[in-house]
Amino acid sequence: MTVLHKVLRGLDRVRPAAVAHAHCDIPCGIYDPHHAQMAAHTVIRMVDLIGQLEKPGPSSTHEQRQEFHGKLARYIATKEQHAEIAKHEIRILWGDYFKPEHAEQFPELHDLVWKALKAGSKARQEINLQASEDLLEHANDIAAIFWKTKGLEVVRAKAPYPTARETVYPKVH
Amino acid sequence: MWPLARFRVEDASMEPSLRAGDYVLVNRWAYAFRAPGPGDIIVFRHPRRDGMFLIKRIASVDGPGRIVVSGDNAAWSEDSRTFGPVGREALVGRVIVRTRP
Repeated sequence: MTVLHKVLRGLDRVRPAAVAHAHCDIPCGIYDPHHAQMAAHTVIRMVDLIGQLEKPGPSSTHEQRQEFHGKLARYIATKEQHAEIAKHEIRILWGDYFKPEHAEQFPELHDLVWKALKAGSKARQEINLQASEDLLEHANDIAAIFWKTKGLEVVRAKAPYPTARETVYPKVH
Repeated sequence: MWPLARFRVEDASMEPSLRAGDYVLVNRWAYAFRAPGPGDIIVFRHPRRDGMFLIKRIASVDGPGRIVVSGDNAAWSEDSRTFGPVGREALVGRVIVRTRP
């Protein structure tokens, strides 16, 4: 990795660069709802971690308080980022992948997307386990529709992550 | 106006020259003294989507302000074949540096 790339990546964290799309979404057709599901898992995990964080007591040292605030800030930042990633990924599926005939075949699609985006916003704004789980659940339902439009059956299984929530996977042979 | 602008590349239509995750520095003054020419990699505003920037290579320039752009990875590119030539006023500038992870 070049030094300049590291500098630019550092800058990107402080002040994100605009995105220049080498756009290909019309013909390349590579979509996957898994990004949205994973981001939702991350949001749930962050809510869990925030809940487990031990609050420093009145006799705590400066270092302990600093560590607490540092961790809390990181968990919140990651939660917000991944709630936004989930929303972004769902919008891509909705706006770019799904076609009118899919919406006809699955009339609940628009409502599901709307609910997922609302849950994503709530999970971003608040430390709210229910909203985070709703985000995953709606992302799962959207994933189920996505895979059915590809002619694939789906299974619901516990994810192999610390969050261990039910997740929709395609049955790929 | 500061001449350098940073952009992060997304999507695949400029592979292998540019990949998702690359950063580019764009010279916004590049065309103050000379005209855009074939081969230049440019960042420009999407003709049909507000607020979206595209990055492509200039294929040809048909008269003043009609810039035909194409992706290097032409089979997978949305470019002048779909949205026609790009106007000079849509240009942000020319890519002068690319960095890669």
